[in-house]
Formats: sequence, C-alpha cells, structure tokens
Amino acid sequence: MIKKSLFNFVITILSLILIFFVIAPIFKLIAGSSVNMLLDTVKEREVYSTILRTFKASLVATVVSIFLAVPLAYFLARINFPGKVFIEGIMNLPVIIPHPAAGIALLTVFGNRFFLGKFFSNFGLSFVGEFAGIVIAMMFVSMPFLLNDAVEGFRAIDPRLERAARSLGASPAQTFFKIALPLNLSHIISGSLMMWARGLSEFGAVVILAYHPMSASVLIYERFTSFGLKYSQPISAIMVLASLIIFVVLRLVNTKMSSIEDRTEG
Amino acid sequence: MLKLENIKKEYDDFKMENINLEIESGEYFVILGPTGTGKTIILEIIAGLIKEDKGSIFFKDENITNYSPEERKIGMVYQDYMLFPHLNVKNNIIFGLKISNKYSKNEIENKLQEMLDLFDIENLLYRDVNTLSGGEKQRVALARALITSPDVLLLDEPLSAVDPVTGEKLINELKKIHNKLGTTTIHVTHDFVEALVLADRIAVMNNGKIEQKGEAEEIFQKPASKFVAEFVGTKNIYEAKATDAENEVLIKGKSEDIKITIIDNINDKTNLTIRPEDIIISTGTFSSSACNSFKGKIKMIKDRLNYLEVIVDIGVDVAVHITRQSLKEFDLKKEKEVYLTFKASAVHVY
Repeated sequence: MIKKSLFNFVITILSLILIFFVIAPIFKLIAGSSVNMLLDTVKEREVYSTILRTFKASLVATVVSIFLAVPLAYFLARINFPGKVFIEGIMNLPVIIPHPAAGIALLTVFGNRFFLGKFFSNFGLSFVGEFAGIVIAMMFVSMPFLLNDAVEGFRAIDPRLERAARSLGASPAQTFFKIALPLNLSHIISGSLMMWARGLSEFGAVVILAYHPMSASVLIYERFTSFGLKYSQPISAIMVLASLIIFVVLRLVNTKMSSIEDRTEG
Repeated sequence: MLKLENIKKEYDDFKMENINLEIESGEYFVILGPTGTGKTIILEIIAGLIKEDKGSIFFKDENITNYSPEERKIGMVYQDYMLFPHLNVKNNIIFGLKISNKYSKNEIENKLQEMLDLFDIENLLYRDVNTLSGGEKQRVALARALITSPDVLLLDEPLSAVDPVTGEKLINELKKIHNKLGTTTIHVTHDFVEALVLADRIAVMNNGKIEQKGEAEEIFQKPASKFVAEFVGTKNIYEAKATDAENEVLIKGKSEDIKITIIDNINDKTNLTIRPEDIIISTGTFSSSACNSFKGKIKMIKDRLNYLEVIVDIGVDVAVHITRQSLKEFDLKKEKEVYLTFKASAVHVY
C-alpha cells in the first residue's frame, strides 16, 4: 500500500512539474498584457494585416498540399515498391531538419536564379520576399503532418472494401472517390487542420525566404529585436490566443469525427 | 463456361499451382478445404482482384486473364461481407448500378425492389450497415452482388461468420436463390455439410493443390487421396426413403429400417446427413424436445486430436464427436449401451 501511494505521489509531482512548465509561460504571456493593450495591438494595421496574411498563407499551403499529399498518401498506403520506406523517410525529413536549413534548401531551388524560381517567374510568380515564399516555406515544413495522417487513414481501410467495389464494377478512380476518400475524410481533415495550425507558427524557413511581407512569427521576432520584450509581448499573446482557439476547434472536430468513425466501425 | 487453366500463385510462405477447374453455366460449385489453403486466393484471382503468376482464365471461350475486375462481371462476396461502412443499406445495395451510369433512377428502384423481396430485407433499407446482425449483413452483401446480375457469383466462406442457427437458415436461402436465379456460383468453405447440401460438384483443396473434383457422392465414397479421406472423415450419410407420414423418413438399417424425423418434406428418395457434433450421447434415456432418440452400442472410439469420435451402432453406424471429459464422465467404452439424441433440425437433406 505504502509503495503504491508513494508511486502515485511521484507520478503526480512529475506530471505537475511538466504541466506547470507549459502553462506558466503561456499564462504569463497572455496575462502580461491588459485587454486594452491587446485590442490596441490588434487594431494596428501592421499587426492585423500580418496575422491575416499568416492565416491566409498557411491556408493556401494546406489546400495545395491536400491536392498533392492525398494522392501520394494513397499511393504509399496501397502500393508496395522497393525503396518505399526510404521515400516515406524523405517525406518526413522537413520536420526534423533545422527549419532555417529548410529555408536555405528551398532558396537553392526557388531562388530567382535557380531552376524552379526561373520556371515560375515565367508565370510572373516569384518567391523570395513574396507571399508565395511564405506559402512554400510553410508547406515544406508542415506538409508531413497532413501526409502522415492521410497515409495512416488509408492504411486503416481494409483493402478488401476496395476490392469489393472493384468486383461491383467500379474503376480504380471510382473506387478511390467513392470508397477510399470518403472513408479517410476524417484523417484528411484532421491532418489538414494540424498542418494549417503548424504552418501558422513557422519562423525558421519563412524568415529565410520572405522577411517581408511579414508573417506573424517574423513580426514578433522583429519587434523583440528592435523594441524589446514589452513590444513583442502583446502580439505574441494574440498569436497564442488565436492558436489556442484553433487548437480547441481542431480537437473538437477531431473528437466529433472519430466518434462518427467509432460508430461506423462498430 | 468458366475455365481455370494451370493457375499458379506464390507468396512468401504460400504456394498454389496447377489449379485447373471447369465450372459449367448455372452450376453451384463448392471448393472445400481447410482454412489457409488458398481458397480465397482462387476467388480473388477469378475476380481479377489479384494477379496470378501463371495460367489463364477463360469465360465462354474468351480469354479474360488480363481483364480488370470491372470488365469481368464477376461478383465477389467476402467472408466478412465488406459492406461499405459510410453508406446505408440501400446505397450499399445499389452501389454497382449507380457507378455503372447505365441505369435510370426507375430501373435502379425496380432492381432494388427485386433484391429486397428476394432476401426479405425491405425493413433494413435505411439502416446503418454497422448496426446489422451477421445474417442481415450477409443478405445485404449478397443483394449488393446479385443486383448487378453478375455472370458468376463468388462466395468466400459465406456462412462462417454467422451463428449456427442463422447459418442453417442461410444455407437454405442460398439454395433457394440459386434455384431461382440460376447464377453460376463458386462457393468456398471448410464445412462438408455446406458442400453436401449446396454443391452440384465439389473440388477438395489442400496446400494449394486440388486433391479431388467431382460430385459429393463420389468424393465421399471414393476419396482419391489420404487427405480427402481424412478431411471428409467419417460422415453420417444415409440414403433415405419417404414415408406416408409427413416429416418422417426411413433409412435402411442392418436388420430393419430406422425411422428418422426431419424438418424438410421429401418425396421419394433422398440422402441425409447429421453432423457428428450435433448428436448427444447419453447413458440413459431422458425427455427432451429433440425428436430423434435411439438406443445403440459403442462399436469403436477413435482419437481425433481435439476430440474423440465414437462410432455407435444403432442399426446403422453413427459417428458422434465428444470431448475427452465426457468420455471420462460417462465412462464410455466399447460395447457399452448408450442413447443417441438429435433434433429434427440437425438432419440435413440433400
């Protein structure tokens, strides 16, 4: 009995330390600015346009990724080929490499003097110091969240469901759109939300490709280095609050989706 | 009509070769064998869902080996049904018609109604498929496959995932439906009774090879290999004659005929079989709702690894499967007098 209660005690203490470690800075950050200060900051043209731009860039990155990552996820989940593990590893690399390194890597391809940069400049699209640069930086580093979720979702679908559809006369495309895609919708949605939320906070890769126009993380960084803690705090608090709201919504959608799934799997 | 020629398929730990089968138009063909011998793989190869390593498939003399599944018009019903979990019963059943884009709304409704009547599942129409019982799922899966009027229907262990009572019902339904629609059917099972009751012809399979093909009688009476003999085992198969009384038949015993009560009505002659595990063995008489009870003597006790097979002479030899525990408890041994009891519904007529 004593052993058990000691064990519980240790677990509780360790858990509380970690919870405090996360909550304390966030609470201090938000509580450190008065409501009026927050409102004033949001009203600043530079701040709200930056936040809006950040949300928009991450949204564009996510939507583009859905069209590219969902087919790849289906391919990875359904087709075995030599080197598949290698490809899956590569696709997850952006998450683990230092993000400024990711930004520099992107620059060597999308920079104005490099091949993709040149190619896209034919369509009047350039990346360095442009909105499109924020988009590809966000896309590069946060796409794996969507891809992994989508792969996992496709793998969870019994391939015999798709075979049953084929035997009923469905073409491979019909099978994908009528069976695999609807059954994986919840994973794709939660993966997209995760990717979007992760993209919002990106700094390292974005700052290399596009210091201007500013994204939220860059603006926070600039205010901190130019004006100090006091000026960077309110905008940080606003980003945290925005992320918090998104995260709560994401969790709500997720649980709702998975409860639908539970029902469908029963 | 459907012909498999020298089909070969190899996986890491599994090999199947020299599969040659010819299935006639309208035939009910059963592939019988223990689990894990590649029966499902044959069906998937016939449906075009997996690719054979070697060999050819012909349908009405046309080589369909390289046809995609949707070009073959071969319906497949998986063991665990594979109903689409995001669609309700109705949308599951009409899936094949809808995606073909060949039928008008009216035609789809009419065909749907035919299936609902055939399987008596009108009440399930708007149900979530995930809330259906095993038997209901099976009917929906069959309706979904048959509504497209496939040239061949493939059934993968269709009765193994339902409870025994539902299984009995479904056997009769499958028979009825086959008689009505005449769809060429290939049915895979490990259950000999299923094969006896349903099959026009049987192929016995083991370890990726076909051990024997032929009519049920032939396989039972002249097993072509030791495996077939063992797998088919001692089955209680008897020739029965109709009597004047309803639901009563006579089987020929060593000295006199034995009267057996059955559920089905038969006219003239038939064969019947009783699963050895459906028979109760007891040392005294007891009153029960079971209609058939006979006195006999134990002739032989054979060890079958997981159970014991007791051969009891009640005028004919009857095999009964029991556990080691029962053997001890009732002190069963050779020459001992015992009673055999079984329900009328345990007697299968084929």
